[in-house]
Amino acid sequence: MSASRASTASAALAVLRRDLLLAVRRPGEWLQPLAFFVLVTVLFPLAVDPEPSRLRQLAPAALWVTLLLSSLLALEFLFREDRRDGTLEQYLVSGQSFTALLVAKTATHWLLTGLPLVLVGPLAALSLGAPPQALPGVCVALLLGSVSLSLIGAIGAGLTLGARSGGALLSLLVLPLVMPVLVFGARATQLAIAGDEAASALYLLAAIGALSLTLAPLAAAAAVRISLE
Amino acid sequence: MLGAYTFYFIAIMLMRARAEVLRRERGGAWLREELASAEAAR
Amino acid sequence: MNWVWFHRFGSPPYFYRFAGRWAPWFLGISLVLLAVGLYGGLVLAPADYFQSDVYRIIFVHVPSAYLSLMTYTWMAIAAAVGLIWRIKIAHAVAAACAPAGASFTAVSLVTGMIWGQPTWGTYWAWDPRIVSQLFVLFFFLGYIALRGAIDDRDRADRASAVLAIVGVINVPIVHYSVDWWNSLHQGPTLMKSGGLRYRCRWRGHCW
Repeated sequence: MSASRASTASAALAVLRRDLLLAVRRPGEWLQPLAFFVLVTVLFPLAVDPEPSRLRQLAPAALWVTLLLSSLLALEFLFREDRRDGTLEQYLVSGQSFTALLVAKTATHWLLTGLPLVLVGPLAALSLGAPPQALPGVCVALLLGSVSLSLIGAIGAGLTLGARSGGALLSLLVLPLVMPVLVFGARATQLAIAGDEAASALYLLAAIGALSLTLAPLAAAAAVRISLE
Repeated sequence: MLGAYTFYFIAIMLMRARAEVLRRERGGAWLREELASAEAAR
Repeated sequence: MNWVWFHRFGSPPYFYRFAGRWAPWFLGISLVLLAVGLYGGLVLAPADYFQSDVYRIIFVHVPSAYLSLMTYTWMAIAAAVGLIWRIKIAHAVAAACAPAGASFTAVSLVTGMIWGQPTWGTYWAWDPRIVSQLFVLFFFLGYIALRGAIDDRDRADRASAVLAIVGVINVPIVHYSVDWWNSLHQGPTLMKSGGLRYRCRWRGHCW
């Protein structure tokens, strides 16, 4: 029993290591969403009147919509390459838990696209006029939200694997599912920037994160498995 | 009105699902017989 | 429990004949009920004290909103049956639900907008109930789009079934959104005491 569990964990770690190595060799894939995030956040103050009070009002919306879009941008590449070269089929026949291996892949995706966005997010928030004492709250909100985004997005990425059109369909499928993340994330950010207690919205974000951590991998594994048949 | 809508939905659902079956089973032997007997009845 | 009557529906010929025989009957019953309901709602029910005749759109609005969620639930159940027991008819039923559900959702949104203009003074409010209903519409459209984008029929069936099951999470969110957030939209009309009762004495005709 414990031997097989240990081997599942080590297999998942091996997948994680392989994907990270691949990403280091091909930095374009994870730098693109990051660059997109920075660019769009810079565009917001240019598009509206850059008066500090108005910018601060706009900051939560700008941050979260941009986070959502750049996360979607990265999702398209989540399984596509590995399906094309047969890696996913190897995972399927490896005898290891397919769900665990996909969780490892999703974790890599989050490390490469979610985590950089969480790290850049506070800078973007500052540039949009958020006070420095709001940054911990903003950071935690982005952290919890981006984890859910990656996990739920993996379902959409799995479903669209066998589909003809990619990007637009993916966003049509994923956006309704991640609506609560956007609502509570933006709410927490808004409360943090206004200097209020953001805990209630953060708890809800954490609850969504826990729910998607337990259920989303199962759905994502089912979706990917269907596309491989 | 809720009852009316529900029955309307059931009817629409059955008709659409029937059409879907027709599309999927095209070329099935039973369907050919079915259609032939419907033709004969007319 | 004898399940033979249920398992028979898994056979395409049986289902084909059953649907052919019963669909006109259901349609007929629905038309009769529709006539009765419209007569009761538009003629018999008294005008509302606050909203006069405008409120009568509720007789279209509420049933279509309920049917959109019921269709969604039914679609997910059919999809789950198809996915678990690999019954093709169940997939056909689920696929048949999506356009109907999308149109019910669209009708409930449009009638809500028409109702909102005279009573709230605006066609559209960014209210949780309305927005979550809009997302239900997007979900139906996404389901249809996903089916359309996958060429292999078996794979399209199973992928869209996973999507339908995942999307069930929206149903309680839409239904309880009025309770969870303070909203402009009034509380749910059905399954709650005191919703419409004081307004509408002809309950039987309303719904």
